Amino acid sequence: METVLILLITVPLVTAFLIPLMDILYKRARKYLVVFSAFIEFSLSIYLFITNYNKIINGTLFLGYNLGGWIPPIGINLVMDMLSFYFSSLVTFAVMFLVIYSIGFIGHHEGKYYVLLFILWAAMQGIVLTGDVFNFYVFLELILITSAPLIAFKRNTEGTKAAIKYMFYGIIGGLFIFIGLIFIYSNLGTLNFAEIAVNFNSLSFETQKIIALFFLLGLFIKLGIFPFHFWVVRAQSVAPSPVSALLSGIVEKIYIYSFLRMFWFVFGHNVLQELKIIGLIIFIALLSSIVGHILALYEDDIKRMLAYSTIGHLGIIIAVLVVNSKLAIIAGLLHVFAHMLMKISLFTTTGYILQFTPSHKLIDSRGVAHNNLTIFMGFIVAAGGMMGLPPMIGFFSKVFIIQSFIESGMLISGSMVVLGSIIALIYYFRYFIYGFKKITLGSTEEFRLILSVLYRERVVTDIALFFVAAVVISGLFYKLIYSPISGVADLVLNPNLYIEFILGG
Amino acid sequence: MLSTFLNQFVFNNFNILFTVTGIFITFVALMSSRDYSYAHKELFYLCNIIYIISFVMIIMTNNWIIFIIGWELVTVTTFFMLLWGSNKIARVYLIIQFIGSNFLLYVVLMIINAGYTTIGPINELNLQILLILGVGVKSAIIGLHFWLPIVHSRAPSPVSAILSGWVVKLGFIVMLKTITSGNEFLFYAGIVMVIYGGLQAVLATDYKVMLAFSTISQLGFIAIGIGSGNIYAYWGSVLHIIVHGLAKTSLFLSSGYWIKITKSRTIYNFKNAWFKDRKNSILTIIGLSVLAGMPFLAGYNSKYLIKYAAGDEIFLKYVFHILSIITYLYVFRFFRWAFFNNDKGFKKTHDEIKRSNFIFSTLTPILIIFGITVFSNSLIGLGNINFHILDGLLKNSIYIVVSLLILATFNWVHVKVKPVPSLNLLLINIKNFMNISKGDSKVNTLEVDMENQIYNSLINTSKAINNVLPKKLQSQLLLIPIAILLLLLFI
Repeated sequence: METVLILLITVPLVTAFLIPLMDILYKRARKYLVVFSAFIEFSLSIYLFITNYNKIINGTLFLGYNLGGWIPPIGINLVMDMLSFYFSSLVTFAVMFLVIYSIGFIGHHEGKYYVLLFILWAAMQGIVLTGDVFNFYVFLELILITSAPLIAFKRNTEGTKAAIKYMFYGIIGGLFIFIGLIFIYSNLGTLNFAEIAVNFNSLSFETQKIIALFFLLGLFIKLGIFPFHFWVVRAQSVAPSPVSALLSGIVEKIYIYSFLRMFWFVFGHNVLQELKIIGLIIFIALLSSIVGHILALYEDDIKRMLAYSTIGHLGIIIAVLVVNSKLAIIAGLLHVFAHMLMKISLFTTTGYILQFTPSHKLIDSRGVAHNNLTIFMGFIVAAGGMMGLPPMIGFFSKVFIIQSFIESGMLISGSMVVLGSIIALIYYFRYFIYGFKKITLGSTEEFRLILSVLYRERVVTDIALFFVAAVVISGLFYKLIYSPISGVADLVLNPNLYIEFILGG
Repeated sequence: MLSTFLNQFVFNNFNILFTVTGIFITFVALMSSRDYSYAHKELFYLCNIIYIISFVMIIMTNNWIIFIIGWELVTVTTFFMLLWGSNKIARVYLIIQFIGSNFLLYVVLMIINAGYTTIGPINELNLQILLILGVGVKSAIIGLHFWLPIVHSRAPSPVSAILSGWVVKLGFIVMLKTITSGNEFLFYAGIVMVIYGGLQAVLATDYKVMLAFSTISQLGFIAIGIGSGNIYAYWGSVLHIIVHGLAKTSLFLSSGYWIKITKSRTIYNFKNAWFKDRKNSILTIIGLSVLAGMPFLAGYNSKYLIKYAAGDEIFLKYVFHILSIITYLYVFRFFRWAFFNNDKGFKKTHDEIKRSNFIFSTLTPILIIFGITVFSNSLIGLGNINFHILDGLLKNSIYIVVSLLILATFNWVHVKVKPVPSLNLLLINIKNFMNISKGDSKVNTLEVDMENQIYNSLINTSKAINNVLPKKLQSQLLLIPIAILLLLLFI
């Protein structure tokens, strides 16, 4: 029984309900409360890391918490294994800094913004920690409900349209997962991950197929894989920059966690093999990746371009995880980390740069580099990571991904990754050229310098540069991240340990 | 921690020799760059320092991943150096090199997967050829060389010196480590490179373009040495990498001063160059003689060793004589137009040209070449070799006579002044070629921008995909049931 696990969910949840109270009492203290509870959440993660240091290094971390004291098959339980710890700490780390970024960035209706953000945070922690399918579904819908208003937070037509679209797709995806859940409960009579995992093979092939398919489709819609990618671009382009960073950098990674948890731990990876669907998933994911990269070329809107690049990278991650060798899992998990850092730094830096341009269009960003050289260089460094240039972390994850494809004999899949990064070079370069274009004031074309509307500019730039620095530093010391990740990969390839822990403990 | 780090590197004579030469070349080019006025000097020096670190990584390491990191860093840093010249050239260079280095990354991972975890001899022919093609984009193997004359002739002179003198050699240094027992593909590619580069240099009217094509030609000699698998030719390649690196650096740096003095890049306008600048003339003559392989200069020693590649085959020996004559052809053609072209109306003016680092930056490489000539035997690991200087003198005088005769018959190859090669021209040529093959020989004089052409084709593809995809929410949502049906049918 580790009480910290329940605290990881309740601290953001309680904060979310304290914020309106604080608004009534003393409005100015709101930002201190927000940062304080973000810091508490962060220190909980640090506490978990320090107290279980040896287990994390050896890859044998297992912590459990039973809600209400009921033992697993009857009550709901929270479990933290290596996989949960990895994703939980990524979420905590990134959201904490995005909260601080938001303090400088969001200038209006801050109370509502933080309420939604903290419930979203709690939901993400909940998904990562829960050991129960229904609980998992509830948190999944909670993410949808809280992130949709965040997308529409600018209160314009575009934002509302995007949020409605996001809701449509999210609800349909959730519906599929819910149908799968009903099938599971009606056939097995249990909702606990470990119980399902033990009894799943006793189901008939047809039932297994339908459950796996519904979960797969639901997750693919939520992830925005190619034929269902329309909401990603809309949502990530109109949302405020910290929310775009959150959606692209973290929420999507939570769906990848769900994919891993469901198809490796609950259903077992052999279900995919029996369905003979692995080749199809890799094909769809890589097609999605290439289509995303190619569509990014056509975009003349910087945030839509970044959103398409997200689609491109998520496809790669899914494809490499399905390969299911140790190196492939490591590569996928490392790219989750790398893509999170790089996308957040790209969105945070553009969020700042876009304050000085009339619109998101590339043509309006002419000459922005001359005014904000440091931030623009940060953008270039992060984009270099996206293309896979050393010494950024993106290079190492790219190397591991290609290596794992080659190791499994999938030479064409590996070359798709290379192709994607070459296209990425071209579309990011378009933006750099616009950024460095020389503009003379008073020329025939109308150009005016828009002054920043940010009232805490320093916070915004510092956090953006912090993420850029994290991209470079984590690349230089990628070996430090490598050993815990290989522990995670060991667990993913041997999910019985997780099942034994829940049922035995 | 430190020992595991140091274990990734090999410090043998071979590596240290190359590292010292590379650092020296960069240093000399940096000294010369001080004579040019440009902005952000500190950033330029920073680029050079990172460039030095990255090529030292390439040369010293025995770990493939560190090699790739160094390779990419060399691409990035040389791209930044080119930004001091022309933005467009730099951009094209980066895109081409990035494609090349990505291909190389892929090949290297295949090599690692085949069991060669450290950099060492590779025995599989297909992997060898893939590696040659991978490094070929930076090292200008024939067929992948198309960017080299354009970039090297348009870059600022100190940067051309670095690119032509050392960056192109890095690929060959890796080949020296991996292809130890010969590769026929590389051997014949080398012969083609010597002939193609040499003939293009003979036809060039621009001095820097001539030097760039001569780089391709001389790289061919290195490729022959590595590709033959003969141990003498192998060490000849090692020597030629160093000698050509030094000579080309000196020549490119002096070309920068020639352009300042004569205010032209065309060799016909050099006119009586000897009287315009004697010091520069002497250095240029010595530098080109090193390339031609005249006796008493290190170029002779390296070419003497490379000629062991012919083995006992008489035919190949004759081919090698022709290869030597080709180098003499462009060297003597340049001498004719630069030094024996009367300029009647010329008056020596004393223009203020900043050249305080001229002597240092162009003379020291030449001096070191003289040093190498004397100590050739101790530099290469084969013990004492008799270079047969007298025999060489005889042979080279025959080469000179033959090349002079050929040049005299062709009226010293006075071709029309061509514009500096650019990617536009390349694309126009490709387009014309396509038109000819279709039976339509109309010459297209439209200025076509290669980048725009490629971008447009890519963007049109994405536009087409974008147009196919549904725009309305209803039809987009309709894709979900379709996908389900397809999935159910598939399984």
